[in-house]
Amino acid sequence: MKINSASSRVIVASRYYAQIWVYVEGTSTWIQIGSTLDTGSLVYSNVAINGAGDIIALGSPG
Amino acid sequence: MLSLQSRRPRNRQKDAVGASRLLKNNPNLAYFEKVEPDIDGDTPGTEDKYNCDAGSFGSSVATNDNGSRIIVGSPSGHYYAALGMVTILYNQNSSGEEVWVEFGTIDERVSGFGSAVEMNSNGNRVFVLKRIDQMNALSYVSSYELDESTGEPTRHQIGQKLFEFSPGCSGFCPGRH
Repeated sequence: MKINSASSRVIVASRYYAQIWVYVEGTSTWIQIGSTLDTGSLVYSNVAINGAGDIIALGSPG
Repeated sequence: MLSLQSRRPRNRQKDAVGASRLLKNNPNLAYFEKVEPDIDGDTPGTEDKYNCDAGSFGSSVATNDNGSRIIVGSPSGHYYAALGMVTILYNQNSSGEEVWVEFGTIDERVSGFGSAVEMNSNGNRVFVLKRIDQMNALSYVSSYELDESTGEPTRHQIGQKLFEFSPGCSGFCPGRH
């Protein structure tokens, strides 16, 4: 789990899936951006998101 | 620059003590100096300082940008203390001495809560991951805002829980976040 600088976006990942959520100020609601990312043949172990929240990185060792 | 370490006992006995340790980069030196004292979750033989499972205190840590606030997770999740919570502290550094004061706790009383934590740059918004474990087969992320406007530190959840999954839903089994 990682957040961007404004803490308006959060990326959460498990071994096989990842989701990115954006907080809509004033509505107290989180909305998922896009669909759940499937790893395919990879196994996620680490995630990162940049300050602006428009770039994410998913690490899969091996 | 501030660095953060957590100490988690390898031997998870009831009296084992978890802690968080801060290190500060002295700009004149090429290394980090330890900030005294450690933030201990408990002292062996006494009541848990932060009313948490001290053995898992420090499993996750995060700070705000200037290092004046810290959030520490104690997800627990073992047989004698099946609860999880996080503790938020701020540095009341008025005399040059490090004095960490409890801002508040977020206590969901479910094992795995506090497995991972994040804090925004201002230190007024925190995120807490509840990870699946042997005690509770559900995973989610909760977000909270900290409010000091009334003079009394409070926190409230913002929005809904995110990433809610359990092993029962289409075989989705988050195991590591």
